[in-house]
Amino acid sequence: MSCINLNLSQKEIAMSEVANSHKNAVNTISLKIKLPDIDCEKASKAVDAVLASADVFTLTVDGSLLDRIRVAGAAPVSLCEIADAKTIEEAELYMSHWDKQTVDTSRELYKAEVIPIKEGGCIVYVIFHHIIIDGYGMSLFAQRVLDVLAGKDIPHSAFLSDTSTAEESDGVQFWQKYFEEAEFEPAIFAEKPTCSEFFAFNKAIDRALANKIKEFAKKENLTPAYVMAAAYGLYLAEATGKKDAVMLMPRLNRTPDQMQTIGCYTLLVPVRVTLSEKESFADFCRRVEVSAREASRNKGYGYDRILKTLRDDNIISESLSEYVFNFYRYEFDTTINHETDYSVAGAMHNHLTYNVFSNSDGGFNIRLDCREGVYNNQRAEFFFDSMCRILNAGTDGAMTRDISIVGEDEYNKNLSVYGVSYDVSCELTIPSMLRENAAKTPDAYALHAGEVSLTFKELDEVSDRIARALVSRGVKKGDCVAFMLNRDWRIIPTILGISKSGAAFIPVDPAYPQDRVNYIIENSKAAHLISSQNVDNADKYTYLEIDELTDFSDISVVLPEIKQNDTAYIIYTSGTTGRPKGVMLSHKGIANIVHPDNNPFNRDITKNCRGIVAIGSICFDISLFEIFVPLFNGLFVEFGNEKAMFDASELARHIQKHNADIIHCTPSRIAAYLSNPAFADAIKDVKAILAAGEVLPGSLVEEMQNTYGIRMYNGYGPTETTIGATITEAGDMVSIGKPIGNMGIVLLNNNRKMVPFGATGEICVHGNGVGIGYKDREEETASKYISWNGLRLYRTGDLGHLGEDSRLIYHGRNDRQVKLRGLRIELSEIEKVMSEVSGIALCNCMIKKIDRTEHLVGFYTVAAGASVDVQDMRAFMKSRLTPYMVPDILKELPSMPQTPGGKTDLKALALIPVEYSRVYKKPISHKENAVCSAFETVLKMENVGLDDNFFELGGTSLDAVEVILQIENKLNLENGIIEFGDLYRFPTPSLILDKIYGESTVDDGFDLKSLDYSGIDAIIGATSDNATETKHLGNILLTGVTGYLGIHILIDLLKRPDICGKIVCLARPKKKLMAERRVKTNLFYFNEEDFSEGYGDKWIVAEGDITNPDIFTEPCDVHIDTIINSAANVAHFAYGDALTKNNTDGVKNLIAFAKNQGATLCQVSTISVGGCTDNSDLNEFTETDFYIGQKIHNSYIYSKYMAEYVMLRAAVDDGLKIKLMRVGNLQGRIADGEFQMNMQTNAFGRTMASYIKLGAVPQSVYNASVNFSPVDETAHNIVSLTALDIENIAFHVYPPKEVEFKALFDGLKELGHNIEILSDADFDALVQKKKQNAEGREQLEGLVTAGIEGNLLEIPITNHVTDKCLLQSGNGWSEITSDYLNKYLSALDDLMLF
Amino acid sequence: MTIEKNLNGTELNVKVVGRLDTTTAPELEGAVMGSLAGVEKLVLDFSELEYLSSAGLRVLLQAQKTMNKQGEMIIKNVNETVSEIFEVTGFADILTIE
Repeated sequence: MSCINLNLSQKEIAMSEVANSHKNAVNTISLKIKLPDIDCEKASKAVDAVLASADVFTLTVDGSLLDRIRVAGAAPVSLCEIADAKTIEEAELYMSHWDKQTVDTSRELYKAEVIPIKEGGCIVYVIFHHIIIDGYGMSLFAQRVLDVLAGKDIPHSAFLSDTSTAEESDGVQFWQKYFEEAEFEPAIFAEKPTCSEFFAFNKAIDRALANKIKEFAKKENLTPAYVMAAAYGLYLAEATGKKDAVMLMPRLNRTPDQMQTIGCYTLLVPVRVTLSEKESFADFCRRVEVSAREASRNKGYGYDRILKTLRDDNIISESLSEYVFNFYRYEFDTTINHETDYSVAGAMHNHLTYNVFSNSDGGFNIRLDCREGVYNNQRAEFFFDSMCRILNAGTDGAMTRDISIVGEDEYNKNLSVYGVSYDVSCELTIPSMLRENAAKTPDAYALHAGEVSLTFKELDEVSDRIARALVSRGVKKGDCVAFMLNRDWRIIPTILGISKSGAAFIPVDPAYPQDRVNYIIENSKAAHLISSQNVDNADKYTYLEIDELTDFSDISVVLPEIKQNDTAYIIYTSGTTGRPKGVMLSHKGIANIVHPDNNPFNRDITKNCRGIVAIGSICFDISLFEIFVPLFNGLFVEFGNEKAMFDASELARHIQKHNADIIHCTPSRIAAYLSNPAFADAIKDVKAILAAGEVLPGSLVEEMQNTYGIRMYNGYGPTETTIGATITEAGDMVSIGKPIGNMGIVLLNNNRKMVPFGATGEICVHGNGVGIGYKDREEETASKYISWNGLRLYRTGDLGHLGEDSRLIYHGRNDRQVKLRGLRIELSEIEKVMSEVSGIALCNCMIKKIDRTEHLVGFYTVAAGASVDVQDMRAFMKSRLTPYMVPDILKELPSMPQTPGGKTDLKALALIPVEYSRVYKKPISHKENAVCSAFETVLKMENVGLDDNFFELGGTSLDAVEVILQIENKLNLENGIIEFGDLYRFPTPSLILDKIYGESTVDDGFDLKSLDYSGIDAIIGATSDNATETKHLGNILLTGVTGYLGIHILIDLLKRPDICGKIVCLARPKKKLMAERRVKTNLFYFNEEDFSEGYGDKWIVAEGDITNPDIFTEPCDVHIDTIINSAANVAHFAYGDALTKNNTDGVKNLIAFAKNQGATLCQVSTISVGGCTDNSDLNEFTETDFYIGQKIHNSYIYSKYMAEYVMLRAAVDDGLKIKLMRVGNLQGRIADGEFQMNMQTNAFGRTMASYIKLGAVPQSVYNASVNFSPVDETAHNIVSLTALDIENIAFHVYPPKEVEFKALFDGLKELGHNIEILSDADFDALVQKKKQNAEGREQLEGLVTAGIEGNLLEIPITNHVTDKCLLQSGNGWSEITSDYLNKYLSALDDLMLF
Repeated sequence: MTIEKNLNGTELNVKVVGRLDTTTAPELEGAVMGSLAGVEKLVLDFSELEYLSSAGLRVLLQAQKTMNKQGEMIIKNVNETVSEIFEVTGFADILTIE
């Protein structure tokens, strides 16, 4: 019985099942045929007849492995069963339960039942594994059941095994072009599904609309399917606010002769839909059709490969689209009374599948398969309404841009996001509210500021005097009056006084540049500037002296009547470009926001508190909130001085002075202040904190609540809507809350269309607080304050979405989406992840351009008492974000720079230097100058600073040799003091100087000793040499197959077919060469045979890379039993993470894969992990050793050591079965003496070449010996050892007998190379001499890279255990003959040519 | 494997068609090495070379060795398969490949 070949469609299903196995993927699809007039016996026989007619039902799966689908026999695997009788309702419940269950592939790939229905008749219910049938196939199945029942003959349905080998080589180009410049979001809703559960939502489209759709389609020469798809596309694009949308459509991939075959031939195709301006819905439908057809023609490339292509091109990061569209038009040719239904959602991993069923009676039934966790019933209902609305408007002839995408209920639900409603008397203004309080509690204190305290009555009187003085100086209603005062008690009466005079007040900070002050006065046409002689710079302006105003005694001056819609104040905010803009606000907004019922904060403080410490800068509107809310509700204001604005101790004194119990403070400041003991003490009596202005970290809320019992409120709102728009309840850490009283929020897309409830859109504010506009900036006012469906809206430019409870979740600025090296990045997304790192108080990300290169920088501060490890933080961020979103630079700051308003000062942040940059740290001392100038000479550049990284400046490994010699010469150091590898570990001048002259003369290399070795010795130490039993290796995954050893392992496996099952070779495609072709090319090169015959059955090549977390990048559904990892980056020196990425991280990926498959992981390592030592007691490194105190200085060896470490840890911690194959000096084949390895990268070959070029060898080397491991025998022995039935063991795979260098040098002599044997001292002297010029250095190159560090000795390696195991299993090593060595030497000689 | 040879003054053009392996390498060796006298430029056209094994590469090395002494050797029209081999073996940097 042979396995069948899976077609592309089936491969993708198999791959998807493997890939989603951890999510409990369900691959069930089902068919239901209700037969009210047929008895169950008859139905059951009909089903049996159909089962017997189709080959697919003879298929079975070997184990649970989808690649091993085989023909079990001539008959169907199982026949139709008759279930217990049920009522219709019970049957529905029963079927909906089974629709969600996985098909137990170990038993069968389908299950057919007939359910007798108590009400009469029966239901045919067939569950299939999607791999044997598609939706179309199910309709064939249903038709044939009906045919048999009607007494008709049915054809035999041969399952045609896939024979097509068509490789769509231009698929890449097509799909790249198809998605060129696409702008879309894969999902509308930010929620991530937590499970694979789904639910179905069924509803029929209203008959009138269905008719309209059909008429429209007919008139416009379209099919209803594309009209439906276009409506979906329009919805997706508008709901995400993008110009494009992508939906997935399953397309039939059947040849004409397969059209009558019951089987699975469906391929998923992404369809891009692009909105354009001024287009009718009909034209849009036509373009959707063209796009879908174009995509469909290229479906053969395969969905998984499309995904890979788009990911490689950074068009998508993870998902391409969460939206699937299915259109079914099944018209059954029968007279039998029936009703059919399909469930295809079992195979879904997406958020929403929109199924349209075109009924034979002309209607449309919609079934939405909705993912739990993203959709709920209401969302599904809303979606259905959206479709109807779009289809209605579209078929009426509307332009796409004019079609609203939300239905009426959803529209109303969105509009209900509104704060409490209450009446605000239109009489209320700033002056009236002050007077009211002065009348109510005249003698209560209203204001404390320094030594001055004023009661409400006094405050009312002082502000009256100021108002009269202004009126007497000609101020009229509608004027503006600016004030520029120091932070003392006079500010508050000034504000109130200006208000009472009928003018709008404009705060000006004395610290503003003169230019800005002049601009404000000019732009606002301010009637006066109020200032004082004690204000710095006041003499630069014409001003009214505040003290003269407060002393004004003429009470006969009549004050004007103020109306609520009069301009109350103008705040100048920084424009994004150029000049500040004046935001004009009315009394109406203030009267609204100070209402005791306006928001939870107001309710809290007006009931529970006495007074507030006001520290907000008067130039920011939040100061008006902290002043007016308490004041107009009878509470006092402790007006903080300049120092209290920035100093925790001073703030503490303010709190305690009159027992204030409310403070207003930005989260940045609170977090910073908590470390001050005086502050921490003072806030014990504080009850509430208003932490507005920026995102409030949850950790801070918790700390304040738990430690101090303080309720924190987070406010949000632009100046333009009168201070606030939303506020959170105390303790809400997720959202920025709900709208404040008489204010509402709507979320719109870029086309000003309302987005679906829960989708992300621009936060737009409406209600009482929306201001008047920008002073003398009509255009900007018109673009930001808009009229929308009868509402006056202010567009904030901030993005957010509404949670289920209508709370607003803030995403960040609309414009915080930046591009880094061509990749779209949402800075707020990074910040969100960063803020989740434990211990982080505040954080901010930005792009910084450093030396023409852009870098992503993350700044953060650490919470009091906490600490943050940058490596951990990076690791956490890597686990949560796509790699390019992890900042290059993470920099801790003692505090976040803040604007005077207390927000994070992004401009200041941008100015903070970061290490990555070439911030020029000037060399001062002679030594520093010497090293920097060595860098400069070699790199041919100027101004290399002490912290500049050699490799980041473009240094190469050849330059490294050069720079080391330069440094040694300039500093008169003994040559050889700086090891070649040092520059990689100490890449900056200051680091290398530390290395040379640093306090610590002991360099222990990489830190091995602080790793966690618990349990490791117990595992590796138990290595036994008594293993003689072998086992079948099962299916093998072999990596590194394009490498020298890897290809020989493959050859060995192919020559011993019985030792294993299928061999899956993992390889990357390179340039135009597909992975498979690469491997075959290499096979031919090394072996003169490419084993094409067994390809597909015995062995296959799968595209992938161990640095890819998923390993495979194309479908591979072979279950793996044994992994042999011979992939490695063998560069012995590399800067950056290339070595770790391949050699250590790659192994981590394999570990995860091995665990998932339950496979044994066999790792090709190196005996060099034995390392070096200065301790003569360490005289042996055996197979039972791992960490014995050795030292490792070389990054390559370290990466291999760490690979062993992570494997051993996984063996100890997770029970992973592992084998370590430590190999030695790999050389040519012993069988035929073929030396085809790359001499350029072979370290030993390069060392030998150096001796030849120098014409000399040191005595100590000449007397020594070296292990020579023929690659073919090494490969053979690795395979044999892998097949030994023993786990968790290390082997030292090299011949125990070494080759004497003497023999090598004697052989070279015969080839005409005269190599002198020098004493070690003489050889050193020669080396020093050679270092003096470029030619000499080139000759030395092979020695430099192989250099052993300092005075350390290599720890001798032994391999008794391995030797014994090999012997016992009938393997071993051939003798290295002189013929073999001669062949080696002549290959080496050839290398010398070049 | 077939070999097309064309001597144009001191320039010898050799086109190799098919597979270059243990069986065919001696043929190429004979055809090229015997004709190098007086040749200053050896051009190997690999546009139709399908596969290359290590035995074939050895012939190239030998030819290169000779041409180093009397002129230059250029390999042109290398397809992706052969180019992969030159990279794997490190000869991409050594041979003159156009």
